[in-house]
Amino acid sequence: MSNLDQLGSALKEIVGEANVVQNPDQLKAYAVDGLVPKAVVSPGSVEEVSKVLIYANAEKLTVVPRGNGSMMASGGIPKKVDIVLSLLRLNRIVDYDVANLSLSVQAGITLAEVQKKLASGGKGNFLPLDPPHTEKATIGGIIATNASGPKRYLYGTARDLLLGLKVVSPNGDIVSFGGKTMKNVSGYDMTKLMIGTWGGLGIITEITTKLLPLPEASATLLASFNNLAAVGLFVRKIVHSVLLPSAVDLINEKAAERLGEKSKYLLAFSLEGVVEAVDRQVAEISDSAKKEGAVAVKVLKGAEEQNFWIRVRDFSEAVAKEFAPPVVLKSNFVISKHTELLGTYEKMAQAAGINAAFMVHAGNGILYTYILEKAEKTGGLAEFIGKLTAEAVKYEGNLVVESCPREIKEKISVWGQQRSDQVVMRRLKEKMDPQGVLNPGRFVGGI
Amino acid sequence: MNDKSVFSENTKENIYHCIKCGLCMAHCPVYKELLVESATPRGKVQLSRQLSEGNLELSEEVKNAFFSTCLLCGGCVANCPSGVHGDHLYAGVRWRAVQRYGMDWKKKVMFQLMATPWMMSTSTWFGKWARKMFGGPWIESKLNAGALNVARIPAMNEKPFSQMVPEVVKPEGKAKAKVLYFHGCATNYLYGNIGLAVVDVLKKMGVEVIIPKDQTCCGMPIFMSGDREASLQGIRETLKVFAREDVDAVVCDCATCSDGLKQEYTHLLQDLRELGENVKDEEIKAAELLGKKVKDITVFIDEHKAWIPTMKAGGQKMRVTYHDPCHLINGQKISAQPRNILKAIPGVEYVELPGANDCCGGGGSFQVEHAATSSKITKRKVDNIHSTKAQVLATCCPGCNLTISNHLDPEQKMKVMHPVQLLQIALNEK
Amino acid sequence: MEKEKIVHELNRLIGNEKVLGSDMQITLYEYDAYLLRAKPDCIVLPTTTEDVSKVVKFAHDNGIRVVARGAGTNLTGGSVCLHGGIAIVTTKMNQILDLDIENQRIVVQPGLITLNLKNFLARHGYLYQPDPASEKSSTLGGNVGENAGGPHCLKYGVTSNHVLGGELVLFDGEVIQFGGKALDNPGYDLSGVLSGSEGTLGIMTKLVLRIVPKAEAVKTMMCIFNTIKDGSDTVSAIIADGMIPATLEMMDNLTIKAVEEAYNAGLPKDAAALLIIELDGLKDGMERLAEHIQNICKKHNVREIRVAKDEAERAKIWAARKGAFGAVGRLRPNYLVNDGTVPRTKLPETLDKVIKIGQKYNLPIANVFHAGDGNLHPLVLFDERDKDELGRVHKAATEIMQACADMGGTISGEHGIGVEKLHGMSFIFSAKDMAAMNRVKAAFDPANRYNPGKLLPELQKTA
Repeated sequence: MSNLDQLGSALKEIVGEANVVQNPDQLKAYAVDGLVPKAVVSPGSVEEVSKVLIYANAEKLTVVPRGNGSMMASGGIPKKVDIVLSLLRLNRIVDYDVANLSLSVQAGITLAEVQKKLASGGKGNFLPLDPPHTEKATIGGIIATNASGPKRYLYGTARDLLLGLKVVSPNGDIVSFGGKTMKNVSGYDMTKLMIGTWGGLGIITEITTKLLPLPEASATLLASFNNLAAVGLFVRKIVHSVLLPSAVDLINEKAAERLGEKSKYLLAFSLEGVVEAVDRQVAEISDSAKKEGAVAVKVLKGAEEQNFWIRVRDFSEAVAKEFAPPVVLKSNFVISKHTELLGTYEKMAQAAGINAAFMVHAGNGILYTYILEKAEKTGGLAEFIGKLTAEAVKYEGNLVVESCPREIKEKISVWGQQRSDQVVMRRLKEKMDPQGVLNPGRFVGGI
Repeated sequence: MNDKSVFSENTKENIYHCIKCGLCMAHCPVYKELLVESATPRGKVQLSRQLSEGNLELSEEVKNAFFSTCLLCGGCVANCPSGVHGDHLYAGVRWRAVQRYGMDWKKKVMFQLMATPWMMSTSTWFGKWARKMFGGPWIESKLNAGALNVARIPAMNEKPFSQMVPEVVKPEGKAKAKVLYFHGCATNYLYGNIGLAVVDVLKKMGVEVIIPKDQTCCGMPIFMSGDREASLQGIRETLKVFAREDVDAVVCDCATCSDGLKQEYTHLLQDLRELGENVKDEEIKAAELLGKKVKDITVFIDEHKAWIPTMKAGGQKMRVTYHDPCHLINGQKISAQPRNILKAIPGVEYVELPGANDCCGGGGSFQVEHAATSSKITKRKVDNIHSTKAQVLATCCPGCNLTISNHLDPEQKMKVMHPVQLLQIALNEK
Repeated sequence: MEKEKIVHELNRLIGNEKVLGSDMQITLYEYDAYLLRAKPDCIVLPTTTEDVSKVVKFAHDNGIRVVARGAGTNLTGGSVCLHGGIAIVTTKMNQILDLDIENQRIVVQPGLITLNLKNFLARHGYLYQPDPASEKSSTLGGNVGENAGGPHCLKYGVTSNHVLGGELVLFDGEVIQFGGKALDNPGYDLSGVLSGSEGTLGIMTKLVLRIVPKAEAVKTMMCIFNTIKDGSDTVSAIIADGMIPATLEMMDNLTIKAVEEAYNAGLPKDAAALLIIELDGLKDGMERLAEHIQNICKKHNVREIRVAKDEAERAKIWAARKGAFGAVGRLRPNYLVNDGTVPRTKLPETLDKVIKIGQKYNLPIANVFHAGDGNLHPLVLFDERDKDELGRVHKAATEIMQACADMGGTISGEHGIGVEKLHGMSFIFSAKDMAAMNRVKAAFDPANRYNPGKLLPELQKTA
């Protein structure tokens, strides 16, 4: 029996024949940076996930966890890809405790399905996360990549929402941390540690999160500007005021165009809460915008509002349809410098002759760059990314390449500039995954 | 005394109510500057425990901790959620420390003087003469008594205050009330004007004021420095003269004295008795009686504000701010009454002092012996005072008065006065 | 290495004004706010990161343990040098290094007292959200070490939600930066795992904190109930109705009586429960929400509702809550604060169990709790000089922890594990769970020198 056959039968023993894929044509679809796995397994229980990892440890194989694959293009080139482990069959809602405003769900369920369930019945609740890939993103993938969206401005990100999680450690141990309580300082905060680890310290199989009641009312205000400096002053005013928008996004011309809006610089404010507060903020921000030089202001409500934000969230998906594989970059920096950075990025793109769209979470210091052309046709892309990175680092931040073809990954570090905490991260990876079973080489510093 | 324990059983009980929560640290002016556990009230309570249980020796270092890192301001006591009387513990340790290590001879002489009126008035006369003959601004400006600049210590009264007024001052018409006036050493020797203001205001309010000639030091500074036995002299004298049923109140214009007379005498005597001193029942009863009668002058005036004659309105306003003396606000919880008086004066524009109840850093002899720590505390107070841009800093403690006026920026030309002085001025305005 | 030599070397390294080693000083640093005492070998009071790094490197090179300490108001023995070593006291590292309003961040040294930070920020119209009850004495470093909570964490999260980065001294003295002013720095959430690590992973010498503009409006109400059930039902109903107030704090009858006796706050001594509800945010709609909440209270038989008309009245309401622990301390000399947390909906049932445990061990228990997030603080009253009673107190505390674990909760909501709750860890973690946490410890501190014997039972054995 060949190694592949041995592998196949061992995995079939664990998850059942129907849940193992070894057909070469089918396997291609699961390649990571061109590395095709030897098998794809879909365990149906946490115990099965554990058994797969125990097997992988014993046989010195590597495992790549996967949801729907929305973020598979991110991360460094893996050292080795043996088994892709799909979480899609672990897709139950384990416990929806309405009175406690908490939810426990398995990793393979999509956020979209979760929101639907939460919104139904009674007053309705929601999980305040709005990352890209509105329909496809699974909970496990979102948490493992710490994905977030515009409404992080008010609601925070995964680390502000999660109450606990269940993980299968790299050695196969089934462990659980946190729970259903809002506060928990028992032991180390392993929940926070696991968020955003790209599956390198364990496979998340279930999360418990707090929920919020659906807001009474909502509206979105779009303010169009021609002058970037005016945008900066205006956003500063709002961010330092008592007002509480749920999102403050700045969308540049090229991006606005793709959203069907004509504007040099489009500011989008999402307002959610009690009716009186929403009305007041719409009026106040609208007035203020006009005073600060907005050339146009409009209000979106209802379905129009919903669709706008979905298109914002799924921007990269739309880009990917035209230019695959897409090149998406995420810069982080101190919040007050968003117009400086955007302005510089626009100039750099122009100078490099690269067609790029930019979207900024203006109150959080996060900027997304979308290259609007085919990567292989784009000369000087690696150099361009390097320049953008240096700018972000100048503002105490960094740049992460969320998606790009393998050729680019060979030239640059997708995780940006290394920092002094690398030594600790390396030690953590070494202690928690000594065999290097999970996603080796894909995380910061190549761990 | 024959009992070798550091504390009486009653005082010792405090130790076991300290749960070490550390909330007292937020109210200790010394800890704010030194940031070490020995400078915290909690630390000293725990040291008291170890001393009491025989686990720790009362070394020089321990002695120094109890003297150099505590002004006995009472801030910790006022804010201890469990009601621990740390001050009783620290005073107890100081007592045993002084017994073991003795007291600085200069302090001993000073206290002996304060406790004996005829010695004190003779020596102040001599002191004034000496200052006139051998002192002078230049020399004094170079001299520091610890944190105090000698040149800015007020000149002593021409004669002791007690000699400036008759023993009984009757009001015009029928007296509405009769009070004894305990003026204390500071007013007697340094702040005669405050004494005169007290008498003048009370008289105008229709109150008969008795200023016993044979009153003496309240004993508190001596007690706080650890010489309990010596302080007894002053305590007993004071009880003899002031513990009277037949007066409406015993008024006092010094926060430390009133705190002592009102809050500490009874406890002190009971403690000393438990530790073997010959204290009689009548003395304790007298202390209890006195405790009920004692009223800070601002409290008395505020309680009888209806008796204050109408003051002339209009005219220029003076910006006045107020500093809460520790011994008034902590143990006695008196903070509203002085402010009420100030706010009611037509010529006063009252402005609240940031950190009004922060300690001034004086602590009596503390500022002389522990200048570095004291200066830091005083600087915070003075900076806050200057930030109000007030023209007058009002306060009800001659100790605070002395310390603060010593460190205010002379350029600002701020005056430091007792609220009763401002009231006197207003009442005398034609 | 003998104590004298350690002191000598430290004097050489950082200067003798920063080193304490006399009997008196050692006595002063042998305790925190828990019941345990253990003497350090010596104490250092660094003022710079370099000082800390030198001390830690020296300790590492010589196999000496180190325990970081702020104000020492720790409730679980976390600040105590259980196995000797050097106590690194941060109280003199109390500078504000960088107030950055533009980027809504402030960078501070760990020894800064939390309330001092907030008062400083208030002058600029800004806030640091976490409000642990100890804030006027405790330090930010201590808060981060314990991941401190406070009444406002229902809406705003705990300390770790507001710590975005900092500087850390590793086990061998190496200094690294983690996180920072910018969000989403790539890598593991070291800030997240360090918060609540109780000094067992490293010493933080700088903290980057999130600050936010002061809220526009606040409305504080004190609601008095005749039964605890009415109070808890009110809490559930408010949340079920889609409202998340900034705080929902409750006190039981024993506590109310003690507070009234201590502070004369004007509370009815026969009330069964007192609920403090605070709304904050934009003023629009706040009146309507407040009225709605009051209606819910009325539906649940509220006896009286007092609404604060101004800041002074608001302060008075909060003083009653903030003084609760201490006031209870007047009933008996000592108290042990439990810190179990359960899902909010399980609070009434858990409280019943707590009352029964008190009866079982013949100990009075006063209850103060964060009703909004299910964090209870049963205050078990006793006299530590009574050894029998002390024994019963520990047993009662253990049973309370077990009860909370059984209710689907946890053993510590905000005070940490320290030494006190080591034996409770097995109520909520399996051996494998703890093995995973031990691996994190091993990554940061392979030789187990940082605060050994705390937080993880395994570490207690290998200390």
